[in-house]
Amino acid sequence: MASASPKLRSSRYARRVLVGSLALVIPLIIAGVLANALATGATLRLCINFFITVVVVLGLQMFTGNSGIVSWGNVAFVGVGAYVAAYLTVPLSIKEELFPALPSFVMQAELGLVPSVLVAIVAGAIVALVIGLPICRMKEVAMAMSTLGLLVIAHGVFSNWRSLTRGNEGVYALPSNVTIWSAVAAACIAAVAAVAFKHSRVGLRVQATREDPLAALASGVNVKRTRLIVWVASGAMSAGAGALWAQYNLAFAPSQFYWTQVFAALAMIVIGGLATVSGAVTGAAIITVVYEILRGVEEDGAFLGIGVPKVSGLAQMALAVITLLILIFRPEGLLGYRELEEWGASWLRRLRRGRSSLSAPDPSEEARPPAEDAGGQA
Amino acid sequence: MAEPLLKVEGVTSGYGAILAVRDVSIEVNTGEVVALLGANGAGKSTLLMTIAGLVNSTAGHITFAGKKIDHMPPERILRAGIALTPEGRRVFAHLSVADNLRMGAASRRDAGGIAADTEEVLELFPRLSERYRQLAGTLSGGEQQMLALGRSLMSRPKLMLLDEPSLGLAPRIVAQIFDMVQALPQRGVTVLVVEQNVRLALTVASRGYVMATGEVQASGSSAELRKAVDLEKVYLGTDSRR
Amino acid sequence: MGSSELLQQFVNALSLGSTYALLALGLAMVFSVMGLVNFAYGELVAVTGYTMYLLVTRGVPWWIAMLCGIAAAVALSLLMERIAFRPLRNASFLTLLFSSFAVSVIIQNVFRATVSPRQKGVPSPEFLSEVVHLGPLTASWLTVITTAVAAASLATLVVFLRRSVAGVSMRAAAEDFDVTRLMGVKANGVIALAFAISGLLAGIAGVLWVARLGAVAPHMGFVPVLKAFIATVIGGLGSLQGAVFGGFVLAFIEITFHVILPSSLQPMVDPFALLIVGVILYFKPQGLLGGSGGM
Repeated sequence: MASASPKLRSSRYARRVLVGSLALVIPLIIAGVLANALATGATLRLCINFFITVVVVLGLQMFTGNSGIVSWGNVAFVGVGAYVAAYLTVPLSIKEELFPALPSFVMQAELGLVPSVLVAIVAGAIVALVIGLPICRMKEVAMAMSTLGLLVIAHGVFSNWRSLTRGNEGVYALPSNVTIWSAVAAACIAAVAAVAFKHSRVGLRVQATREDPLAALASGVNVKRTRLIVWVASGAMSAGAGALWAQYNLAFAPSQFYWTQVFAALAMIVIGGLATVSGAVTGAAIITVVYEILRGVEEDGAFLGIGVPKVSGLAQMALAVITLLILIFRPEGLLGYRELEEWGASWLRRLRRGRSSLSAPDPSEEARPPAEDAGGQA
Repeated sequence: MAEPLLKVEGVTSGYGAILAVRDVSIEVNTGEVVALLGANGAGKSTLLMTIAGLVNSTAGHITFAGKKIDHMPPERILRAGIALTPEGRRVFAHLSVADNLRMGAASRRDAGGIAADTEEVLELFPRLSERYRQLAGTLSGGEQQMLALGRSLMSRPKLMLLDEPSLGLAPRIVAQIFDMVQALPQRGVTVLVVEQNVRLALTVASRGYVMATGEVQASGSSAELRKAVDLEKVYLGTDSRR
Repeated sequence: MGSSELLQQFVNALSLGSTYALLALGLAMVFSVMGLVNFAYGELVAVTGYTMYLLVTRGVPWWIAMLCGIAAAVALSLLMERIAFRPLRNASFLTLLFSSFAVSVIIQNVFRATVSPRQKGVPSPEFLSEVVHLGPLTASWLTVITTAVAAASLATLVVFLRRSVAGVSMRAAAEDFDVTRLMGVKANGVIALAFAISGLLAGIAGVLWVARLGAVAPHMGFVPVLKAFIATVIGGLGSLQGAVFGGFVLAFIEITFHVILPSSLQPMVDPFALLIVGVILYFKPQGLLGGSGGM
């Protein structure tokens, strides 16, 4: 990469980002169109929430996938975004009741969807920066453990700072500003951002630290600063997702930003594949679908017409089992180290080779770094 | 001609994509002290670890006392009669000397025999007797080496694999240790010793193999090897600077 | 605050600390031989509670239910080792951690499904809530017994680890797993033993925990594992002494915040304690005692 001329580098970059983005944006838009045309009621809600979930998961993937450090805290940033959205969009009369401690300029504000999301993104970035400065200086495992602490602390703050969050009683009266199209647009923008980030210089550097932190350090990568940048970006995106989520689901409580959600988000990227953006989106899709089916089974007591005992918690359990199986048998996730477009390209190559006679294996088929799993450093 | 105690045939092993040992064949007969020589990175340690079961071989066979031991876990190989004294001693620093020796006998059930062997080891290495209750991490390098050897002896092995016993030790201690190594066959213990100190190794060994870049480059009796001119080049690598 | 008040809180901290120490030790046991921070450890405490719930509500005498609860914890611990963690023996720390999270979710939902998603009361012997006076101090029988049991368990464990071959093997394995195998000690055996001891400690702690709480709930395992985890981090991951030490330090931190914070901020004790832990991690990632594992 260092040997190529700047112009070549940036055109290669642009092409990679373009291809990667299209590989995600096109299916997302198609899904959106189908959902809009065919889905109603609860199914439509599911679809819209899916697109918002994509943004959440991409926020997580941007950090954990690229750095290899598991973050339990991205859900905390989602919460931050949700609360910020509430501060900015809840009608004034109710806001005074809910959040008496808000400074007046916030209290007076009444913003629309896009401005509130943008402010949430900035807020998320700031919070991430403040927290990230100390924790990004730690070693990988210590940092991961700190994000666990972050989750618990955030939850404690959400539950107890009543004048700013209403504690466990939660927040309501958010305006319904999100439509299927804004959700799809948000998912697409997030996908493009994640792809652009992954292929950017910072993204490549942070992936180098994932594979071999010492080697990266030796080749001049400022590991701590690179991680901090990724951490802030991830926090920003997650907060944006939270603002979106809040203005669709209209009410929330601190319990919405805790273990259940953390597990779901991590499961999504583990199943799809930590290392890739398309893995995160794929994982989100798979889990949303599977979870819905299982929840239906759980409630109706039937699976494809066959009677099944009503088991509370069946969906969660099944999800956890699937995640465990993937961790044991395919720890790099379903997509492994290749993005969707790379899988597509390799299948095309194989088809073409199949037509001509048996030739030597394609060297570019050689797998990615030999890291044994997507779990990152130990 | 009796069957060799240890037969390594065409063994290849390594760490992931890095093959440290390539198609290596060596033999050790009962009652011998055989030396494994070569520069750093030649694959000698890896070969010992492969025999001991800590590293998986990807090709070849290892036979010990007629039994195939490739792909056996290290705990079974120890019980079969092979004890590895690893490079760098690797005593249990947070355990006492007494506990270290007890660990050496972990595979045995005969309390009486264990007690008797402990006595013997302490007689062999009086320094250890003095420091019996001390934490192994507080021992000097030489004492730790003695402890490591004593620990291996506690399992009553038929074959001892010694990885660089002289590394980092003062000459007087090294001499002591090698005296002991030379006497091992009289106790019924066959020895395969990896050493960088070529001269020293060849004084206690009757035969030797020379490894470089994962392969056996030369073999023969100690006398033959001592005479070999190529030994220096192989030992020092292509760089003739010391 | 008067000196007798101070003394009282000190005693409270000792009692709390001994429970935490017990919990932390169980968690550290497995970490020291396998490098796994077992999120599902909390479920071992929970299964003790649930076993006791199922038996006590069916009229089984409390002390039998207690023993069965402890046995259940040991059994579950061995089961999770065999099924979930053995295949992952060489995975990275974070993969192991996340897998244990998955195991924990599975078990919690088993409780939800087989017993009830709701909290269930577990009656304990009446005498436990009776108060005993020791000079200027007052404590319930439960507190006294908790401290005594925890101390006895810790002492027994220390003797076991120091004297028995199995115990020495475990300490050896915690220090250098490969070399321990070279001594002929079976890897699977050592790890299974670590999980068994972990289960035993969780079971004992679980009995004490349930006696104090008086109820079981599917997610009840979360608090014990969090406490255990915080304690081991404070003391130094990988160090058994560190775990015990960390347990007491955590108890003291908590009691201190408990006393300092106004009643409105009481629920923030946990987050504050975690903040302290974060600070400790930042300056001393090896923990206060600096374990051989460390981070």
